[in-house]
Amino acid sequence: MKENKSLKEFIAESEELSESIEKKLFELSDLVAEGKESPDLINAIFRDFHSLKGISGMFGFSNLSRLAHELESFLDKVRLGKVEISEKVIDIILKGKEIIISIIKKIVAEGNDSWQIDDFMESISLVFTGEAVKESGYESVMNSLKNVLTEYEEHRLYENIKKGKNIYSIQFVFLIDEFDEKLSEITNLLKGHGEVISTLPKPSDTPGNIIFSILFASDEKEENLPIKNKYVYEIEKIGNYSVSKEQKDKEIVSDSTQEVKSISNTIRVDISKLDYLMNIVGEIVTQKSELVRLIDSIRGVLQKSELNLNISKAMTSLEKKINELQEAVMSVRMVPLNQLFEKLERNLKKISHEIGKEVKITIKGGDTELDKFIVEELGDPLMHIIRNSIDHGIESKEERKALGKPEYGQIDFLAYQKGNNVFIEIRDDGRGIDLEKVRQKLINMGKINKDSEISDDYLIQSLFMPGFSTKDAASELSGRGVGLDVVKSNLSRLRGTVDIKTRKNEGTSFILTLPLTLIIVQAIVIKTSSKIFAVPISFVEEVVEIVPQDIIKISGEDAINLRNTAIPVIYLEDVFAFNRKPEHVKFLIIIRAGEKRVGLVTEEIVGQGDIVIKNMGKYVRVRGIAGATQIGYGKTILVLDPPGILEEVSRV
Amino acid sequence: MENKRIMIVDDSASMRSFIISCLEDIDNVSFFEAKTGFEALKELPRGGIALIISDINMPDINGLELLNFVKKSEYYKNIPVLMISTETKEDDLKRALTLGADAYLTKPFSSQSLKDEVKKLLKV
Repeated sequence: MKENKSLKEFIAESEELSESIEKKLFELSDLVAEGKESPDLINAIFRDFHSLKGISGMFGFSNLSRLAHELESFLDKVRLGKVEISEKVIDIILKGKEIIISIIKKIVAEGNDSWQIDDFMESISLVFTGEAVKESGYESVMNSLKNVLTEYEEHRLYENIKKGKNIYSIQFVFLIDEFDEKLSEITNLLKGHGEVISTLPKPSDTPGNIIFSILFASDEKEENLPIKNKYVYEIEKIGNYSVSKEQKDKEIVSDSTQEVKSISNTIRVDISKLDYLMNIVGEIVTQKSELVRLIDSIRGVLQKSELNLNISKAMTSLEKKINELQEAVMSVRMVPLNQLFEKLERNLKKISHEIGKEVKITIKGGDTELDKFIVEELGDPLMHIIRNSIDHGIESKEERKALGKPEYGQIDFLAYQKGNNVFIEIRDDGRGIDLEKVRQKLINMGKINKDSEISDDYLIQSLFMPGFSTKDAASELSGRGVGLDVVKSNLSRLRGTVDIKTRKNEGTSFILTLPLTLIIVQAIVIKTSSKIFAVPISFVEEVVEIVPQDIIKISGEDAINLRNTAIPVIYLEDVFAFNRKPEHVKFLIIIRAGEKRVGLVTEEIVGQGDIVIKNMGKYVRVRGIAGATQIGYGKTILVLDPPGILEEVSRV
Repeated sequence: MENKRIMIVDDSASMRSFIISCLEDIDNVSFFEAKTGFEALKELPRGGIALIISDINMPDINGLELLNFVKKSEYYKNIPVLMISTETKEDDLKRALTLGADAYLTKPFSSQSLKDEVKKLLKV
């Protein structure tokens, strides 16, 4: 049972409802002051009280429920025309709303809702002096409709008939995927000329379609309706009445003694403050590593003594606290991917309507959390990928039918965390990437020879090449390609990678791998040719001890046989052009970025720990280098960027 | 065993959350939450809904309109619908039964009574 979570939701929702009631009441009082009618607004306030009553009853807060019930019935009388709306009525409701806020606070503080509400309840009954309006004479009009109208809608229908309005029943046929947008477009248009009493959906004989019949009251003649010549519809005029009713003007003064304190326990903080905090924590973490190193070295001198034991005790607990601090600050910056996914989903739906392809979207793992900064920066690349999937991946309805696929294309958003990385997968069930066409394109570009054997992996990787994918190329390929190089560079700025898996007629997956956070990372510190580097551990698959004889030649390239898999071996000396080779080949750091693996030859493993990566400034960009970090006092070393290195070596 | 997908239509998040917490320990059920009747209408063609639990008072289309749609449709009329409303609106509940609602509950109801109704409708 997740009752606790439900209770939190209850508090948030009831607070929202009371805020919404207050806002609407002010709006209403303005309208009343101008002598205008606003049945929609009164109905909306009624609904808020109704919801509040429902949920507080469900959560066992009977006092609150009783109060909301009283206010709901009061509002019900107002919306059904049994009580005339006035300044006094609005004041009463405002007062009720304030008591509700107080009770919610009590629930938060003490867990119960006991409160003196009887006096207030009595004041409501004093206001209620109105008499029920007899409603008759219209039942015959719409017997078929009557059952689906709520009591309120029925009342509105009656009110409009009484005022001598023309009542129309207007029927539209929509595609089921776009009816909500079309419908709100139409009702907004109509609302300027009368009152939309109800919108009734009806099943259509054609699958994929839905019929809506709108019950509309207006002074306008049929030919003057604003939807004329804009939409296709069937219209029927119902009944003809000519009674009229006069309006009354009322002045209203709103309550000004409002409580400003909010009940919810969240605050908004400028992200730059968190950045600053995170940087300080980063520095502390670095200093801690240095301190640990120093203490380790003096412990040898102290030998077995009580002091030695005490130092190490103190150090351990300090280390623990610093780790906790780091985690706490990091967790503040973490946000779930849900919001981003929902935004993408909305965009995707919009695009699919525009281009006339229908897709089903599934989101899984939306509660996976990532650093706020990373989530913000992910919007563009993900949008790019999704745009590609819907434009080029998903086939037209006809094509899909012919292939025996479901009419609706499927696009999935998946997210999950594994170790220090978060994986985001965008998967479609479209036509897949035509690798043969990619090969042709590369031949035309002069990148490869006609007869050379090219691996699928290489072909896929070349999609990310800058310049590969101009608009031309994309349409020529009738596949993907628009700006995938941009996606890749966006991601590498976030120290992330992107991979593609594709199968003809089955679809394509884009798999993004991202670090949880950018600021503090765990790293292995290595030394080769007397240069020291840090390698972020999220890219390190394993460290293997080797001897020079282990390195063999495979098609002229250095490689190693690791448990029967050939892994290419590279020297950082070559990558950064030091013009030398390491003297002792001792370790191989197997790094992985996406699907690719490579072994880095190194002479020494210096250590392992948390490092804070600092950018080297806007203008210094070296491929293969992510930035610099300080280890110990004043000693600065370079941090490797494994995806960059892999890219560098696969460019030969 | 076949998974039974229950559609919960209610504009209140805590109500939906409450309903799910009442039902989540029934075997082989999953949930689709619709905040509005429109969302429900959009989900129906995607198929696989074994039961609809709907509030009556909602924005855009109300629960009665949704119920009317489901029961008049060739495709969906066999999906059982459980309507939920408040005691004051007995009139609305009467209309729901006329329109073909398979069961109804009035707020506040106990989690057990909801569970019992749902089990009956799902025949588990």
